[in-house]
Amino acid sequence: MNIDKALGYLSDKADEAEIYFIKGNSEKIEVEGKDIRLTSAGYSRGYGIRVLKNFHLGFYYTTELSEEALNKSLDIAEVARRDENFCLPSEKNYPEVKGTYDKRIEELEIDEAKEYLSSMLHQAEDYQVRVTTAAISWGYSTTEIYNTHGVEVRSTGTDIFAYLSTVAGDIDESSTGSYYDTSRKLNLDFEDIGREASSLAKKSLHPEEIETGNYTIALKPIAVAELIGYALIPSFNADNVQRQRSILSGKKDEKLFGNLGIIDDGTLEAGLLSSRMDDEGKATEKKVLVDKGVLKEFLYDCYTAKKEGRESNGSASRGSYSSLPKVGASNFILSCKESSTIDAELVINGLIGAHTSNSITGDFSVEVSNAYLKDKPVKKAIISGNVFELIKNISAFGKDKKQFSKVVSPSIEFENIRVVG
Amino acid sequence: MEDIMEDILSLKARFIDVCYHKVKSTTISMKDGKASEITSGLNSGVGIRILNKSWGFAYTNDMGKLKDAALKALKGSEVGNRKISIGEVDAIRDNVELRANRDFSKVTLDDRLELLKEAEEATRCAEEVVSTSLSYGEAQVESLYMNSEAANIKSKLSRGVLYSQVFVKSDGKLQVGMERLGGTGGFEIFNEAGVSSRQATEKALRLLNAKAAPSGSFTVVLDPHLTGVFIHEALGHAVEADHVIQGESIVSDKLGKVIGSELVTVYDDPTLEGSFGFYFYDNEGVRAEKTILLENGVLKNFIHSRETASALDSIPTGNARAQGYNHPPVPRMSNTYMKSGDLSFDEMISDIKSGVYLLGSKGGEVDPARGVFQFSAEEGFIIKNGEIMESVRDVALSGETLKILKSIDAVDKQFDISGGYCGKAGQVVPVGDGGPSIRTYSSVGGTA
Repeated sequence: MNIDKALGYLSDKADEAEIYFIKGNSEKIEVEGKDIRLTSAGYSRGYGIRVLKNFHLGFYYTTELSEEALNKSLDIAEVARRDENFCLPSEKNYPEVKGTYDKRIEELEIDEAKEYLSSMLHQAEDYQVRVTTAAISWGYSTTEIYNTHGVEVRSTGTDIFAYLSTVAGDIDESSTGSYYDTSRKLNLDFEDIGREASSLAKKSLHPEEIETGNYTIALKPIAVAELIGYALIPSFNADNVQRQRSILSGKKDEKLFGNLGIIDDGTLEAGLLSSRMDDEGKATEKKVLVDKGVLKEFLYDCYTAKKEGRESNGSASRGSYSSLPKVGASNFILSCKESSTIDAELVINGLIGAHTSNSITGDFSVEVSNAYLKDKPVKKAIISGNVFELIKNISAFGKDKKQFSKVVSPSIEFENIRVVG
Repeated sequence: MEDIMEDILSLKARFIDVCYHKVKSTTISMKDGKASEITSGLNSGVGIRILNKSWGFAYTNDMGKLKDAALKALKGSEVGNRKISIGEVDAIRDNVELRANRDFSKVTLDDRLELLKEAEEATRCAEEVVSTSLSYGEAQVESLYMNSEAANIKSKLSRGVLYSQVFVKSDGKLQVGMERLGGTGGFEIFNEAGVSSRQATEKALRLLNAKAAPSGSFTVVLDPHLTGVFIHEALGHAVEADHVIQGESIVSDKLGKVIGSELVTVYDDPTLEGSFGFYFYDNEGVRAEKTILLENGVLKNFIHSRETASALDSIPTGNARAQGYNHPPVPRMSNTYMKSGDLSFDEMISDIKSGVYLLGSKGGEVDPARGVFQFSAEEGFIIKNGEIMESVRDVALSGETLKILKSIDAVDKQFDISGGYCGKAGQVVPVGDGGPSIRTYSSVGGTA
C-alpha cells in the first residue's frame, strides 16, 4: 500500500491522520587497537501512523504499510483517552535550510573512509599513545511527513561522525583521552580529532590530587554540551513548564540568566539538528529563548501550543518512527555579547555522569575527566552545584564555538565553583 | 525465513551467522492519571555477520534487500586486517520459550489501562503530589539464530517494565521520586505495580524535606540498588573482555589476583528466572550460564564473546549480546550481583560514628580505563553514632573502583536485584543488578 492510498483510507475512518516515513542507510568502520575489526552497513525504513478520532489518539508503527497496520492505529484510538488538545498541524511554507546534505557522504565508500581513519590513527602514533577504539560512521536519511491537513513535506540529510579513544603510559600508570566530532558535511578535520584525543591522553599522565575548594573553572565545549543538555534544556520544554516540572514555570520576562543569550534554531546552517520541518511537519524556526539573561520563550509542539491557544514553534521531535513526537530542542545555541580568551586555573574537557543531573532543579554533581589545574593533570575531582546558579557565575565566554550533540557553545569560564578533590 | 537464512549461510566465508528478530511492543504513558499516549507496533529484521579478514556486518528490515545486505557483509569482511578467531562452542539446535502465567498476547488493552489506573491511584497518597507520570512498556521478542556451524535456535520471551515518576511540591519546593518495576515472563510481572508506584511518592516526599548533602570523604553505606549499580558500573564494565583487549580496563592484568576485600564475591547470571537480564542463549547461540567474576576478592573470570574468549585463551561465557538485529553482539553483562553476607543492617551501621547511607540510583557512568566512576543516589541519610539521622538529596558518589572494592569492610544479609537498561557501544540491553547493602569508604559530592 502506498502512502497516498493509506492516507485516503485513514481519512475516511478518522478525523485527522498522519504518516511519518523515514528510510536511511548507515555505514561504519570500527578499529580495535591498530586494526579494523568490523565494518557495518545497514538499510532500514519504517512508518509511524498517528490518527485522531474525536480527539482520541492512536499510534502504530510498522516496517510495512498495510491495511492491518492502519486498522491497529484506529483500534488504539478507540480505547485511548480523549484530550481536546491533540492535533496535527497544517503548514505550507517551509524555510530553506542549508548545509544539511552532502552528496559526498551519501556516496562515501569504505576505502575512502579507511583513509580518513588512518589519518586519525597516525596522530596517535605521532603522540606515542595506544589506540583503544576508533570509528567513523556515516549515513543519509530521508524523512517524509504527510497528513490530512495537507502537510506534504520531505527532507534529506547526511551526517558523519568520527571518534578516537587512546591510552598513554604503561600498565603501571596510564591515562586516557578521547575526542569526537560530527558534521552534516564531509568536512571533518580527522587529523585534528586524532590530535585532540592523543594529546589529551598524553597530557593527563602523572596526575596530581586537587585540594577541595572554590575555583575559577573553564568547561570546554564538550563538557558544556553534556551539562547543558541534561541539566538545563529540559526546563525549556513547554510540556515540563505546563506540568510544573520546570523551575522556569511562570518566570517569563524575568532576568534569570546573567548576560547569557539562548537561541534554539532548527534552521541553523549545517546544524546537527537542522531540518526544514520538525518531526510532525511544522516549519522549523529560530526561537530566542533567553535574551540578555531574560527568559522569553519555551519550546512548543502542536499539542502544548494548543493548550495555551498559541502556535507551535516547530519543536516536535521523535526518537524514531516507532515513537510519537514530543517536545525537544534542536540546535541550542548559547551566546554572550562579548567573547574573550579564557585563562581559568582549572580547565575541564569532559564530564562523567552529567546524565544524572536533576532536570527539574538543575542540581548536578559530576566527575571531571581530562581536567588540568594550571596545565597539570588533575587526578579526580567532582564539581557540583546548580546549573541556574552556575550560569550567573559566568566570567568569560570563549571564541572556540562548536556544536556537540544539540548544544552550540564555546568554552565558558565560571567563577567561584565548588570542586571536591 | 529459514530458507533465505540458509542461503546466506552457504556463502563462502570462514564463519557466518544470521539472526532474525521480531519485536512486538506496546507502550502506554499515563500523565496525571490520563492515558495520554498508547503506542504499539512491530519491527522485524535480519542481521548478518561474516568473518574473513575482519567482521563484515550488515542488517536490514526490508526483506527485499536481504541479499544486498549479505553481499555488503561479505564485502565488508574483506576490508580489515585483524587476526580474529572465535572460541569453540557446541552448535546448538533448540526451540525455547519463556513460560508466562499471563501471556501478553492474551491481555487486552483495557487490562493494561486498568492496571495503570490503579497504579496511578496508589501514587495519590499525599496532598503534595502535583504531577505523575507512569510509563508502561512491554516487548514480545521472537528470534531465530543460525550459523554456518549448523546452530539453529528459536527463542521467545517477553519483557515488561513500569516506571513511576511522582512530582511533589510544598513551600515552593519541587521534588521528584522515581520507581521502576520490571522483569521477564508475562503480565504477572506487574502484580505489585501499586506498591512500586506508591514508593515513588514516598521517596519524593522524603526528598522534599531533605537537606543538601555534604561533600567530602565518608564512610558510606550503599543499599542493594546502589551496590548493584556500583558492581555493574565499576567492576562489571571492567571485566567485559573487549575492554580488557582494548586496554580500557583497570583489571586487565589482574586475573587470579586479589582486587577486592575478601567479603566481595560477584556473579553474572543470565539464568535467573523472571529477572530483567534473563535470556536462554546469547546472540552467538551460546547457552546462558552463571559466571563467577570475583570470589572472596579474587578476580576469577572476564565476560566473554566467542571472539574475546579466543583472543584471551579462555572459554565463551555466553555474554555476547546485541540490542537487536541492527547491531553486532559485544560482551555484555546480564544480571550482575554481589553475594550477601551474614550481618544485619543494624549491626553493619552500629559502629559508624559519622557517615552517609545512600539509596537508589539515578544512574552512573564509568571510565573503565582509569577505573574512575561516578553515580548518583536518589536519596541519602546522614549516619551519626550508629543511627540513621536526617535525609539528604542530590548526592553523588565517586571514586576509584579498586580502592572502593578493597575498602568494603561489611556486607549485610539483604538481597535484591533490580532491572534496568545498560548502554555500551551505542547499544542498549536489559540488565539486572543488585546484591546486599555494603559499607565502604568513598568520596561523596553533595550540593551543600
